Amino acid sequence: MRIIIYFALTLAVTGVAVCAPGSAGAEQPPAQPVSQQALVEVSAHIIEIHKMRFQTKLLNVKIGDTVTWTNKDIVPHTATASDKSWNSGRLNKGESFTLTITNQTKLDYFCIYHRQMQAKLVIGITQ
Amino acid sequence: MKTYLIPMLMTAAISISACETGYGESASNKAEAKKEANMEIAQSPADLNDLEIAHVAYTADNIDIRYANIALKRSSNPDIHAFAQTMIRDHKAVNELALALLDKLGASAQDNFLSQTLNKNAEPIIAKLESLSGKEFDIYYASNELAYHKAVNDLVENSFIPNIENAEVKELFEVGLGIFKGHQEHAQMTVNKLGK
Repeated sequence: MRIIIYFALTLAVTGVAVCAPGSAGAEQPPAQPVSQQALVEVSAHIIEIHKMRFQTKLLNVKIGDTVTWTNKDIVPHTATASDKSWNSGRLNKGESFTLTITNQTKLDYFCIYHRQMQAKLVIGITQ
Repeated sequence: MKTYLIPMLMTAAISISACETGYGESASNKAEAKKEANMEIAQSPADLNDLEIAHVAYTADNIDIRYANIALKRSSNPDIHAFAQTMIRDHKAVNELALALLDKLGASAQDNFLSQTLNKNAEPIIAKLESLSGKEFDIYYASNELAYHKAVNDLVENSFIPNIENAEVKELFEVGLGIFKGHQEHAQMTVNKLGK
């Protein structure tokens, strides 16, 4: 499941002094607010933990995306970075954990309780 | 044996279905019907009824929990501890669900030859585990976990699931099998790591 969210980034620049060579003393038009809108596409990914597997073994993400793990198994699991820099903690059946991807996010992860459960996030195209 | 039993079981099942009031009674009557028909008591896993199968699974879970508790006591290896804690956590979770399901169905697990065999076979393994320490213990424990899960998974997949009659019980066993296959993979990883 992929949910796309658009953030409108508005950069308002006010009171910009225009000072061109040779224009000293010339009358300047009043500064106008300048709006610049940039669209940043952020995706919300969902990974089901089911049948003792991370159902998406390899997931392409971008900086700013979120990834949510939901445990569908009757036994608890975790989603934990291989260097343990982030950790969902114990996820019982039906519980979820959401992580926002940054350029510092460790991408390899596993389940602390079931070491054979390993998966990976992959940074794709960044905005 | 299975082929020979089928017609008699069908007859028994038909006669029971007219008066059964619950799942537990049905399975219980099925077992009684076998005896009344002067048939040989089930001595093959494939001949067990659902409630006997549930008893075997419950017994197998508890045996693995016993092994795990010994591992927590005797090993100082963090990987062995993590594995043992997972065995206790997961097998308890499955057993709790199995008991809840039996309760919902108004039935009780039934002791049988296979549960008794599993318990009997576990005793020398427990004695051996209690006698070992250090890496020797770790290797024996992990290897036994691998062999035990392979054997039980084979039993569940090939003998139990195809013969379970109740849909909810069958579903629970299918879920359990997925978990125990995961344990088998985990045990294999642990064995491999210890061998390095």
